[in-house]
Amino acid sequence: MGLLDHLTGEVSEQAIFRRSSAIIRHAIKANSMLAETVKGDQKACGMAEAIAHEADRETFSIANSITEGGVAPNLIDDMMRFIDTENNIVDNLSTLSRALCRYKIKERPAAEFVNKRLLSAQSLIDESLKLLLKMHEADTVSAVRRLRARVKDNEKRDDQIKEALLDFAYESKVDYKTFYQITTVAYLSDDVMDGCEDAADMILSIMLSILT
Amino acid sequence: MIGLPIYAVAFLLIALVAGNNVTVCVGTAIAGRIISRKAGIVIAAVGYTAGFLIGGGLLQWGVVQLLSASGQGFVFVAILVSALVFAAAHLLRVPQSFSIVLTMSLLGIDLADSGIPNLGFAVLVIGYWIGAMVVTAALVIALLRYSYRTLRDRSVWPTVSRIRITIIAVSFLASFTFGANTIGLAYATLSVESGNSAYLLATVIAAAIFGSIALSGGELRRIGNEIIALRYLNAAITQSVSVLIVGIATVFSIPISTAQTFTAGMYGASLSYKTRLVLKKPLVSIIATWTGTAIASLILSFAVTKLLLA
Repeated sequence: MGLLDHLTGEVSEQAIFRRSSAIIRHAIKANSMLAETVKGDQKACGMAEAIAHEADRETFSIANSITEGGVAPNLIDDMMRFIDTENNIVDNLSTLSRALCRYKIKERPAAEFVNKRLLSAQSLIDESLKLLLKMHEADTVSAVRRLRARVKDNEKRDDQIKEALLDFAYESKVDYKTFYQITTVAYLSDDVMDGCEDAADMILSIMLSILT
Repeated sequence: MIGLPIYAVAFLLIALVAGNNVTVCVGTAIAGRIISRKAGIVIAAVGYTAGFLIGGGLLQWGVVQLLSASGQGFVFVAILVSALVFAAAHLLRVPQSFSIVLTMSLLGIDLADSGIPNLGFAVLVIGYWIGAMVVTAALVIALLRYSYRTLRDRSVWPTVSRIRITIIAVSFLASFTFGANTIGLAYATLSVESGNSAYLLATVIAAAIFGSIALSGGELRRIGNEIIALRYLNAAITQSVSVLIVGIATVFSIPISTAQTFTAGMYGASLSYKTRLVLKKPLVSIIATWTGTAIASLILSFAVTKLLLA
């Protein structure tokens, strides 16, 4: 970026935040594919994977911008970890979709229990991703703090869903494949939500680093 | 009128000093990737020249207070001693305080000859060097803590834009005050022997520009590798306070280097954080280097003057 661009255009770190919101938009799409997968749409599996590839390309492009452009050196590592965390959200959603497509729980009560919990988790993830989008566009540190607090609340509620799934897996009399499937999707879903929380923490941390 | 060899030594010395201090003047803007290295060098060169032409004359009174009348013949001893010390600093790629070296060289000549003409002023200068570092650090701490409290509820990106523009502006001002104070000191010292002349003026300006373009590479390459890149706000405040302290010194004809105040400001910035890890070793080593070269300059110029008098 030339000197005049720096003086008159947007700050480089702001540009990175703006571009990385595209990764969150991919995550929102992947999450909606997840809901379709839970409801039984097999086509949604392939679509989630395609979205993940798109997100990988976007992440690579942003990473190049970070290292080549005008981001302050003391923020480069944090920015790289940040976009990596966001990309992992999309990857985990894709992996979760694949896991759901790979094996369908045959026992109806178990399937209904798991699907209901997954849809609740999916709803929390959707809300958190939209909060993350707002955080990307937030203008003040206090606004970012408020949004982050809501993401953290969602993460706590998602933990309860994970615990409920794990309790069910250990307490019910299901075969080993079903047991393994329930624990896998429970942890993958939790990883997605943890990724949202980590991304929220990083946005706040980076903003504080820039401003103070 | 001074001879060509002395012009050559003066040119080399001022070029080395100018090149050595590009890091200090525009390093924060370059390290923060606000401007490119080339743009930084241009800002430094323009700032040096403007500062020297507009404010360089302010140091002439100070030099007269520091150099006895009969010692004027030995001013080239001071220049030669300073050139040797600075060449060594350039090879080692460390920031060096030319103001300390040259001032102590002048005092060394006085001590070997007829004594310091204005001892009170000499004490004031040394006192200002020490006090300036303490005041700079304290001011930076206070301003940063105030800024942390007031900026958190401001819109982030417009604020950061303004801080970045401020950094560019104070980088120019740092170069300006360096030109007025340090290059002004060199010119004032040389003109004691040769008188004000267009040739001397042109030599000094050419040396400053040459030094900033051709001799700043080593120090600038260390930015980001060994010199810690300050955050935007820290850089803006540190550099602003440094400019203020050097500016005040210039008005009162006190020689002081930007490197002194900037180093103190950087430590002030580190100390402003509630939780901090501040390494003492680099500060101790910098102060030791400056003290060592000050003493070496004093002794060397004293010895050479005594030798020539004998």
